[in-house]
Amino acid sequence: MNVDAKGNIMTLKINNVFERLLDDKKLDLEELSWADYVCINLDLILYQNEGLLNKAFALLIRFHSQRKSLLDLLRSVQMLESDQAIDTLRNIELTLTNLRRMAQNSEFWLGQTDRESIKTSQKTIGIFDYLSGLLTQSESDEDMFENDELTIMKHAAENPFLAVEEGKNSDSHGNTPISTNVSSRLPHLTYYSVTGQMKQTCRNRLLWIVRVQIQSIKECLEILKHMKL
Amino acid sequence: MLRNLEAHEIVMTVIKQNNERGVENMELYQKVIKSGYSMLIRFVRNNKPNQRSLLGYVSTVFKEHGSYGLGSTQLVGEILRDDPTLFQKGYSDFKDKIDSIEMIPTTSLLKSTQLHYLSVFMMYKEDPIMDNQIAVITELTQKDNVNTIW
Repeated sequence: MNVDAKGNIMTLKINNVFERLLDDKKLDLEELSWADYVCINLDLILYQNEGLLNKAFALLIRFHSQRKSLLDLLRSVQMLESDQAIDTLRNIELTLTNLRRMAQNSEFWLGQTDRESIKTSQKTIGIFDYLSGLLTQSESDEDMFENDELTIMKHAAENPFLAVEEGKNSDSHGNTPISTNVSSRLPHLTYYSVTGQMKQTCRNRLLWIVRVQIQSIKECLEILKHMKL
Repeated sequence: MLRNLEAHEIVMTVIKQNNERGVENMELYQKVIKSGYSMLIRFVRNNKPNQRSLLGYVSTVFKEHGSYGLGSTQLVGEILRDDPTLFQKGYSDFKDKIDSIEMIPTTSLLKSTQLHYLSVFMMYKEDPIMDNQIAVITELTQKDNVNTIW
């Protein structure tokens, strides 16, 4: 199958999943709310409380930028199809867990002369070299991935559902509010044996977007509780 | 994959650990940092998303190890390379860089290496960017020549 055909099929599949998810009323805050969700937020904006104003405004932006947020989150999903890639991912995850642990304690061993510190330093150098080796090895794979990405982006540009204007609904730094205010981490890497799992990934990410919004609603309620009305 | 797993963030955590005063084994310390920079240089080379992910660290890299070398200058060069808009974003750091280059003695080899990397800011792939060339030359020639570059 050539790259164009592959891109077309992928676009169609994702298009269907995407539209069905966004039409799902179970995840629509407007449907879940007993009153008009947008009106509630607009009302909250009118209170003379800076924190409440910011949060209500952020909620409104998030509510109206779900499509873009979901698209951004899906862009960061990397699909690993081959067994070899999945093995590599597991190895790297393990290595990075070790490295993270050492990095957190680096002030105790970095540049120190005791035997344990020297051992940790050498281990760290070994991990850096391993990662460098992976990067050198994967340079040709990166080129392939970039081509795939270009093809998908080309197809996305031709599909109105993906045509989200750059910079719209973003803050002064150009970031989307959803990504700047996350309190929990979202796994970006998912591996696939079948492409059908894409649907689950899309749903998980939309659920996460809604969850972040619910968390903000709770924060608004907390502020309201402490306000003298 | 490494970007999604935030490998660069972890490496930067080690690099940012600036406890030079308490360093007893400077050779090993520099070896670790150099190795970290070497990995990051490969990480950002010819990869725009990776370059963007490290853009926020340009200033830290300059401040922490700009005067040592150890690959920090090369890393900044690689982060800012190949994207004309990146130069604009990193412009204030670039000015700091020129200031720090001035501080290095003219006899030091590090000075020539760092001056060489100023050329990174003036090119987009193989093409020179006139505005950036003017900015670099203006910035260099506006100095009071306390420790002359030429």
